[in-house]
Amino acid sequence: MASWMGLLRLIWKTNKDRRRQPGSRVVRANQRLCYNKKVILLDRVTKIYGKNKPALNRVSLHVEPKEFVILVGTSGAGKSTLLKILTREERPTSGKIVVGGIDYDTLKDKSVPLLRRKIGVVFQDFKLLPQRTVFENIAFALEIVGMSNREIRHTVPKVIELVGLTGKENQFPSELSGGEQQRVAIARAVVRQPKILIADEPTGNLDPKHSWDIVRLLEKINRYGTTVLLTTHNQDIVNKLKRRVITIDHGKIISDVAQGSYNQG
Amino acid sequence: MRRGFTTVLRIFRYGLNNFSRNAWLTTAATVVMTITLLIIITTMFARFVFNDTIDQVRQKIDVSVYLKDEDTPAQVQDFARQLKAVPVVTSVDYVSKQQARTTFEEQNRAEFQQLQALAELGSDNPFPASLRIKTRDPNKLEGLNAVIGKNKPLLDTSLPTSYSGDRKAAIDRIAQVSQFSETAGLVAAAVFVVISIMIVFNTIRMAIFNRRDEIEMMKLIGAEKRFIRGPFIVEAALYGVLAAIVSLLLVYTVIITRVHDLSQYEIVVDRTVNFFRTWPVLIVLGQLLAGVLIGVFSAQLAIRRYLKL
Repeated sequence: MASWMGLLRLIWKTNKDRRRQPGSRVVRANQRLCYNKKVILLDRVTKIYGKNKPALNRVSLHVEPKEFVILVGTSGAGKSTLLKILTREERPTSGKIVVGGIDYDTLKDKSVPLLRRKIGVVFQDFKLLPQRTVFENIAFALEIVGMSNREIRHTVPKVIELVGLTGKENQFPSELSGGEQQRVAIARAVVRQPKILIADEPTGNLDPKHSWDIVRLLEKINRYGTTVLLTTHNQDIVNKLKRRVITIDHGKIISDVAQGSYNQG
Repeated sequence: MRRGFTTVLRIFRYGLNNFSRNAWLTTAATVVMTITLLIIITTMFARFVFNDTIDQVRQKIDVSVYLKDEDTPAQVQDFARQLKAVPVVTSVDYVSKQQARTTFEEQNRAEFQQLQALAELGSDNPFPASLRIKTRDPNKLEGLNAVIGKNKPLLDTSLPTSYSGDRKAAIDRIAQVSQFSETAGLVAAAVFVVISIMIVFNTIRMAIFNRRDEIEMMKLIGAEKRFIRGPFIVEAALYGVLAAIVSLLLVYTVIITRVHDLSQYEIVVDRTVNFFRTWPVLIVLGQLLAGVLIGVFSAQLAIRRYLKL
């Protein structure tokens, strides 16, 4: 009887060890759980265009939910490539990427729109539709996901209020200032309540006052629970925000500081 | 399900907006497509009309063989039986001397002198009896001629067999015109279909180019491919729909109402006009289908080539 018990114990122990092997189902499941806790996870991501030097060279980083991260670096450092990889405009040459629980290795082309609906993107040049009003520009993001007109009429005014453009719903982008246009772009990016908001140089075309308005708005959105990834060249903003600052240079992360400043790059 | 329906409705709305936004390009594409559809439907119309005209003229043609007065009824019956046995022959009618005279009198009622000359003859009837033969195809009379040749002793040698000669020539002329117009119509239709495809292709290519920022933005905010492509397809299909409507309006207001003027030239239009009046739904659907197919095909070509998603 005792020998039987010993044999059973041995089989149990062997199986347990096997389950702990790298690549086993248990380990993979644990990894998934770990990935899912991060909003953004990049593991040794490299991107090489043609035969050039790598635009990104074994970049690894992770971003926690509700974090506000500032990405800094000179032009050509690799910031835009990184953002394009996150929005799946570009595919990495190698490395692993998980965004909002979606593993890019298993992401099919037809599911890319679903990924992009989880990510709000704001651009330096706003990318608003000139023939559409403020309301229509924001509603557009909801129309493409098939939301009903009633839901749209209910949701859009709330976001317009959030970005401080109440009363300007029926104006066209050309009738707005740069700062206001960027607010519309932000409203469009957050109207679907994405997990992540990527703001690519949102203050690049704005004067200091409007720049700070936009940054305050991004902070407000972050307080509501959205992870914000901001790229900027504006030293003043980086230094005063006292947020996590990741500096990229020549395709590599050269510093990642919890409450960083521009100079640390 | 409901979301899908809402999305399809929106794709149509965006397509309609795009359509109305590019007024000049839209006009050019629609005009060319209208011409194409008009050529297609006119070719079809002309084909029907010519076929009917030829059929009618063919039915009128007959061959008359004139008989000697001495022929016995048995001989004539046997001759008629032989003629009926020829495959191309549809009917053989015996026209007696008296019937021939009556017909002549009726046809020449206005020719006073001729009637008077006939009256002077009194009971003496100069008209021979004849067999009137109707044929299916005036171009295949070999069998008939052989039978006529075999029965030559029964024929009145002073009057040769009548083939209604001018009618045969008319049939040949109509057949030639019909053949030419059909070929020309088909060639013109093919050329204009190609031109339409090229113009719609370029219109959609321009639209894709003009809206590249919008397309880029749609991609980045998570629009599905069908949502980005759909409006361009709808836009091109609308060119076809509008062209079909304009061409049908022209067909029904101009061609159908004015075409009766052709009747005075013995062109048979009634059957074709009746067909167009009895089956307007069929004609409308056919035109719409042709227009939409040309539009969608061209748009698909342009999208495949220039809309990289």
